[in-house]
Amino acid sequence: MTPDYDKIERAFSVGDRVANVTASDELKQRLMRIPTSVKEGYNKIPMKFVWAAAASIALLIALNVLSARNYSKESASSQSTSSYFNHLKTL
Amino acid sequence: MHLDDQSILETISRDTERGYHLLVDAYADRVFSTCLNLTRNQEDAEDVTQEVFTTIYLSLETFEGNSKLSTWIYSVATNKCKEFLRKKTRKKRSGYHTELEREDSHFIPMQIIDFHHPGVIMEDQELAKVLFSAIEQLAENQSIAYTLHKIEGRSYQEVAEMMEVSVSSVESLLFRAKKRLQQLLEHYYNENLR
Repeated sequence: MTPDYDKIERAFSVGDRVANVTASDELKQRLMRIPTSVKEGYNKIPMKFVWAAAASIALLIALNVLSARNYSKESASSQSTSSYFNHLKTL
Repeated sequence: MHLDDQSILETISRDTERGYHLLVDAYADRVFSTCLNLTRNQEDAEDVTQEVFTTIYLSLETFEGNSKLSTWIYSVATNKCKEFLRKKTRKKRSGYHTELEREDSHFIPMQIIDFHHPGVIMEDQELAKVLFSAIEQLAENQSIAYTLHKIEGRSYQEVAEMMEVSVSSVESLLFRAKKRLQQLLEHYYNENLR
């Protein structure tokens, strides 16, 4: 079936006649209130929670560093123990 | 009366909030219009516009002026719409249709979307629905490039800046978009003449 090129062209040409639209007053008010709502969002979180979160993260990092140090010490001592037993085996 | 970009930037550097209000006055309509053309839904366009201005407000102090203020605002708007469309497509898409299939297959039936564009006159509404439904079927970047150039009337250079791609990429996207739209509309009108 032959396509209806006239309809297709008319559909394409609609694109040239789309006018710009304006934002509603309600939307503009919402946009104007953004700075206030952003500040409210910041103020909603009490500073003590922020400090508690920061302290927890610092504690976790410290624990990780400590355990990593202990692990490297233990692996060094287990190496020396195994080399001692290897030496005994050769005797 | 809307101030020019330079005056808005000067006000922002003195008083961020006051400058932001001037920016909303100058750009709210244009950003909303772009979001409406790209999302093809009034409520979604309003939500995306709000996201755009929130991002802009939060980044105002770090805006270094490497690009024009308008270019920056429109590229934020385009990116936000892109994110929105991606989420929407992910929700809508069944497990079968990949982006590649969407682009290559000619015979995915076109679903007419229920979208009354407030910028289209009454007698064009039905044709506009068909055109916007076909645009919705395009691959994401083709759909954005076509809408910005053909519906919004922006130049290749502007579209390239908004999409953060080269002008030759825009030309190629528009060529493929036009070809694909032609196929979709031919198929749609053939089906509806039977």
